[in-house]
Parts: sequence; structure tokens; C-alpha cells
Amino acid sequence: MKRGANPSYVLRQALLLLRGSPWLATVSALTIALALTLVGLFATVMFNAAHLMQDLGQSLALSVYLQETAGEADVAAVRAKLEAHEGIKKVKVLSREQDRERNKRLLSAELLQGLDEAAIPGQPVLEVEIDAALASRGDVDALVKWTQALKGVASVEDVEFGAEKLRLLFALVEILRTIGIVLSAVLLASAMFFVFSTIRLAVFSRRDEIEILALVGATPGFIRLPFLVEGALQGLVGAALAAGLLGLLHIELRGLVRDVYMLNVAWSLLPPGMIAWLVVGGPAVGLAASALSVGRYLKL
Amino acid sequence: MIQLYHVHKRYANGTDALVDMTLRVREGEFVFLTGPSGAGKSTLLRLLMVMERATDGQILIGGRNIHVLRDASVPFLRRNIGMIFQDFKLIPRRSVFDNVAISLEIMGLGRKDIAKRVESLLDGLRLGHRLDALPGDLSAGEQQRVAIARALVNEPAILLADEPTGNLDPDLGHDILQLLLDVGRRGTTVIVATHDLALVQRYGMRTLTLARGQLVEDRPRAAPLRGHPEHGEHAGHSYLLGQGQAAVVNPLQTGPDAQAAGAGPSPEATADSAEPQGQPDEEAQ
Repeated sequence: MKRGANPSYVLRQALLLLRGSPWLATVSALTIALALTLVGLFATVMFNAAHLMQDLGQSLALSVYLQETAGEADVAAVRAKLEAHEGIKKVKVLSREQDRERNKRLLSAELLQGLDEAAIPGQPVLEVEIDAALASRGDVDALVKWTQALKGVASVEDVEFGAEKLRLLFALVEILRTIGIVLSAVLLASAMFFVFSTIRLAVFSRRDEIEILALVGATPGFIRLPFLVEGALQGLVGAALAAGLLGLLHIELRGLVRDVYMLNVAWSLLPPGMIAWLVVGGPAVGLAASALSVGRYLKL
Repeated sequence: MIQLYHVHKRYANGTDALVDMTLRVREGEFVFLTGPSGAGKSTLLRLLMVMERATDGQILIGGRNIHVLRDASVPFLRRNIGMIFQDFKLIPRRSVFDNVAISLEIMGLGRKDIAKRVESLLDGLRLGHRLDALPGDLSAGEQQRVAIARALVNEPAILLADEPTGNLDPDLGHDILQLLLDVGRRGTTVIVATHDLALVQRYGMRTLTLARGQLVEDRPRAAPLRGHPEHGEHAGHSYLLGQGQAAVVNPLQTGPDAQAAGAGPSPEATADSAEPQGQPDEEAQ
């Protein structure tokens, strides 16, 4: 008769096991809650950051200033070089005269008074529009390097890239992402360690019981199941706490964020995806840790 | 039912616990296993429970060679062998009911079935009023009766008892022995290991005497003594009657595990239950 263990029996035993070391179980659940909250929080921030980057990427512009002496052929050569790059969407050419006109508009009238028209600086400029998708993919670094290489071309005087500042932002986000991943990993690892320890303690304190169960003919699966469920329950409680914490954070942050123009987008710290992640992630973390502990300490 | 052929057991420390042991116990037989401490009684029972594996030789239980039994099949064999220990081996955190129910929980029986069988068996063992008590709250005699209930509730074909009276005063020991004899009368094969020679001689059952790991004497069952519980006015009185197990389907009879373990339920188990109910005698002799 290979009927499985009665679910109510397994649950009852798992709850009894939890009652055996309530403090450690509470610490485990709290650590899981903290770890899940942090992972969820970082995932949300990174998701929103990616959107923000895409928005910012659309306003990315690159200006290539050619030497004043550059001729039509030089302009065409640089333009061809730019257009050959996959990340560049559009190249607009400003002639020497057009650039001079623009400079004239930018300079104040007093400064221009009595000045020879020819003394106003003017040089051929190529205004380049960059593919926003490329920017948001974080390939900006490669693009910056490539544009810097343009400086080496004889006819190019200077390259001005608005992404320099954006690059800083990208770097900042990258650092944040790394910190997030490391911190989440550390917290998840410690959460797993606590569950692991709780289960180990439960196994040790029930050595006699495990021996008796084996003697009356319980299968290893029957004996192990309550311990595994105990770990999963700790994860579930942790997930519920994390959901509560994220919900509170969402409510607290909503008002704050509404005032910030840049982030005035539809967002939630507790979207259905997040709830699904918590419901699956919490018990999975608990189960994985208890499976490790049971595998190591519950020898039959 | 149980056959040993040239069984040898050597422990890791080099001790030979059993040496070239050959013996046979028939189905439904009641056997005392006796001898001084260290003679190999417990080792023999541990081998039958597959708590240890023999170093050499063959052990057949219900025709099945347990020498070649896979580890995964051991639990299913054990469901057909009830075991009673000197130290009772009850789970201290679980109630009397739960301690007995565990033998049925492991087979995945429903709560109602379990409650019915456990309660009727414990009633028969005069423990019906202690269902919710913890083992620590019971007397030694009561604890051993709970252990016996746990061993019997799934109606195993074989019952092994390792010094079941060792922790009990003589009166209680006698009480427990009466119970085991009752079980034997129901057709279950019973092996009782004890170093208490007085106890063994009192009942005159088949007695296997071990010394230094060897079988030194196999004394057949003597004619029942006068006043023996199997005789006269006590015959037929049973502690186990009234548990109503005849009305309960034995899961082992229908499940594939019964075949897997190679042992079936006792044929007399249901017949005996039809006897009139009797109160246990405090002094049978």
C-alpha cells in the first residue's frame, strides 16, 4: 500500500516541530521576510530604473565638431563613418554658416557689437541621434569609446556627448544593482542558514522519534516530510510578512514619489508579479534550506 | 515463518554476536529466546527487524530472503513485524492515541479509520481512558501496554519483544506476558527475548537458549502446566478481546505491501475476536 502520508498528519507534525523551537523559527521567518522584501524592492527599483533609462536615452545626443578648415569631403567622410554604426539612428549636418548662426543666437548682442561676422566661430557640426534602445541596453560605454575614437580623425576637432552625464547615472545604477544583488544574496543565504539551523535542531531533538518511526515501518519520505514542510512554512510566513512590509512601504512611498516629476509613472511595490514571486519564493527558500538540512542530518 | 540458515553477525568492533545460527520458527508459534546478557538475543531480533544486516547466512521471513532485501523495502517488511522494547520506545511528545496511531498513519489510513481501530484496541487494553495522556504520565505497565498496542494495531504477522518485562515489577511483567500469550493465541508468531529464566520456565513454551552467539538448546514446548492461562477457567479470556478488530479490514490484507513483505496477517486473528469478551485476570495462576 503506497498511499502517501495523510496531509493533515504532516501539517500537524510540521506545526509541532515549529512549536519545538519557536524563537529560532521566528528569526528564520523574519530573515526570510527581510530578504524577500529587499529582493522585491531591488527588482522594482531596477525595473523602474530601466524604464527611466529608456526615457533618458531618447534624449541622448552626440555632437561632432569638425575643424574650421574641414571641407565638404571631410564632412561626408565623418558622416559615412557615423552612419555605419548600428547604434546611430540619424545624422544631421550643420554647415559652417548654420553653426555660426546658432552661435550668434547664443551669444549676447553686446558681445557681438562691432564684431566682424567672420570672427564669430563657426564650424561644420554633425548632430547625431542615438538609438534609445541601445542606450538603455547599457551599451553606452561602448558608444562613448567609439565616439572618443572619432577624435583621432584629423578633420574632427571635438566630440561632445551628452551621454557623459548619463553614463554616470548608468554607472550609479550598475553599482546599485550590484549592491542589491550582493545584499539580497547575503540576506537570502542567512535566511537559509537560519532555516537550516532550525531544521537541524528539530532533527536532533527528535532523534528518538525518528528511530521509532523507522522501526514501525515509516518510509524515509514519511519521516522527512514534516521537516520539509516546517521549512516551507517558515518561508510562507516570511513571504506573508514581506508582502505586508512591501505593502506598507508602497503606501508610505506613494505620496513621496508623486511629487517627483521623473518618477510620476504608474508603479507599485506589490504588483501581481511580486505577490507571485513572494508566494513561490518564500516557501521555495524555506524548502531548499530544510531539504539541505534534512539531507545532511536526517540519515536513515 | 522465520528461518535462519548459518547466520553470522560480526560487529564492526570484531565482536561475533551470532555464530552459525540455524533455526526455524513456524507460523503462529510462541517462542522464548533466552540466555545471559550478550548471548545474542537482541542481535537476533535486530536482524529480524533489519536494524542490522547479517554478515553471513540467510534469513527468510515469510519465505522472503531479507539478506537481499533492498533498503527501500525494509519499511514495508517492518509493517508486518511488531516490535516491543524493554524501554517501551514511546514518543514522549505524542499522546497515547498518537503513539499507537502512528503505525496506521504511516500506511496513509484516514483519520476516522485510525481513530476507530486505535480506540477499540486501547479500550481492550484498559487504556481507553488515557487516550490523551502523554507517555510520561503513565505507569511503566501502562507504557508497555501502549507499546504493545502500537505493535499490534496494524495486525502484524510477527511480534518481537525484546525484554518486554525487564523494566517492570514481577506482577506487571506477568500481566504483559499474558498479553503476549493472548497475541500468540490469535495466530501471531511471537518471539520474546528475555534473560528471566523463572519467567520462561513458568510458561513452558518453546525456548531457544543462546550463549556466546550460538544456539545451545532448543527446548520444545512442554505440556501446559496446571493453572496455565491456556488451561481451565482462564482459557479463552483475552485482554485483546473487545477491540473489535474483526470488523476492521486489515490494510495489510489488501495492500501490495503485504505481498511485498512476504507475510500476511494471522489466519486466526478474526476468528478469535468472535469469542465472548472477558475481563483480564490480575492473577492467572
